[in-house]
Amino acid sequence: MGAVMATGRTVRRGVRVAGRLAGPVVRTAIDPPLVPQRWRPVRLLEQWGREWQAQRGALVTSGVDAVSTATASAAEVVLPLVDLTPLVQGVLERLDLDAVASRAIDDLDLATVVAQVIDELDVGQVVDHALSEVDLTRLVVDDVDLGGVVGAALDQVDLTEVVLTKVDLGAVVYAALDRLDLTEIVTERVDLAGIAEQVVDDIDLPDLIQESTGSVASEAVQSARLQSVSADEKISALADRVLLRFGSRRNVGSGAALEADSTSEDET
Amino acid sequence: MTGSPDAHWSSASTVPREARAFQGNRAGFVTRAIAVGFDFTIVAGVVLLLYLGYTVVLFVFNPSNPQLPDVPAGLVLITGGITAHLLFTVAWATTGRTPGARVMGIRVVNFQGKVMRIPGAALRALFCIGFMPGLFWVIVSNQNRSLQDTVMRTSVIYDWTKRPPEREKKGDR
Repeated sequence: MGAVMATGRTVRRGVRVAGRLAGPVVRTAIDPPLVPQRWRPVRLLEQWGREWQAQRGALVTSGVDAVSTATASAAEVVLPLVDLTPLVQGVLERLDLDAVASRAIDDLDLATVVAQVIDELDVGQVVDHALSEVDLTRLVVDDVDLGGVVGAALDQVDLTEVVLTKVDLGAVVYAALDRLDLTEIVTERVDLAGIAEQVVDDIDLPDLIQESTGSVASEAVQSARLQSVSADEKISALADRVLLRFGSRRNVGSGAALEADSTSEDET
Repeated sequence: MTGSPDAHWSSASTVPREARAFQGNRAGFVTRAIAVGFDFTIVAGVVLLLYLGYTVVLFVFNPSNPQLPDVPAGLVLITGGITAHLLFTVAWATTGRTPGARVMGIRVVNFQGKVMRIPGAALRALFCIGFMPGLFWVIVSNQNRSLQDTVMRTSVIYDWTKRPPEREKKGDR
């Protein structure tokens, strides 16, 4: 390695010396004094330079085309002769794909690339095509935790509020009622006889009739009873005040109070 | 008056709305005193009818000398006492309410909130007739209980319904 570097240095030095020695000679050769301007070689060189500059673009293009054509032709000839698979495999084995990918991602402006791709793509057509190829329903049913999705969505949405604000409930109910024969449904599904029996049992009809028929007398009696209850409370309050008793009396409650009281009495 | 009286009074009740709040509470002195006054008026009426009946019987056997017979006060008291005892016992052991209690919308129940059995009712009737001032203990008692209630572990409650409460059965205690 050291020998190579030393050789390189020597060559460089030689070239520099040769340049220094040959420079004046070459200059004199291409631009000799005492020779008319138009006959000097430097004029020829300058003309060539101008022509090159003028034709450089076209020449480069044609050169590239020629190379491309030659490359394509060469590829057509060479590729069938070469088994590319082991070649690519070898390359891939030696490449650190992660590093390459991460470098590429670092260098790329992905947002711009994606935006460009989206601009150039007919997204609707792509999606249509994808949807025609895929059984989306089956995919969703098989792979998506629908319960979880619906649950999460319902957690975030006040469904009652949404329904109340967005749904014309009156119209829905009316539409439903228009389609239903409510009478028939009730007749079929409801045990009307049972309910009627239960209601009659609950309201104790004979008792109700008996009490409601004693109208005038019972009104007078009720008034007397209410007045006596009021008097009871006044007497109790007066007695409590005289006895310096400030809590309310333990006469509240009915069955429950009596049961509680019986417990306390049993204990005492 | 056992079980769930609130449900009993709230569902299709014939009890006026303003009276539902205190249904089942122990009644105060005034209501009970008026009821007792009613009952003793009835007892007095019964005694008077007995006296008149006795007078009619005497008149039938001795029509030549019609007069109101003299009756010893002790006999009147004993007759009245027996009448009251019978009245109270039967009333308390059947519906839990005497005629006076029925008018005033109160009912006598035992410590379980049920109608008393005959022996208990008879004993309470004896106690009530024998020591009437025991009623005044209602004023003093913190639980609106008379002396008889305290001793017999009974309660007199407001109950404006006409449905009799559950009866106590043998073995309940």
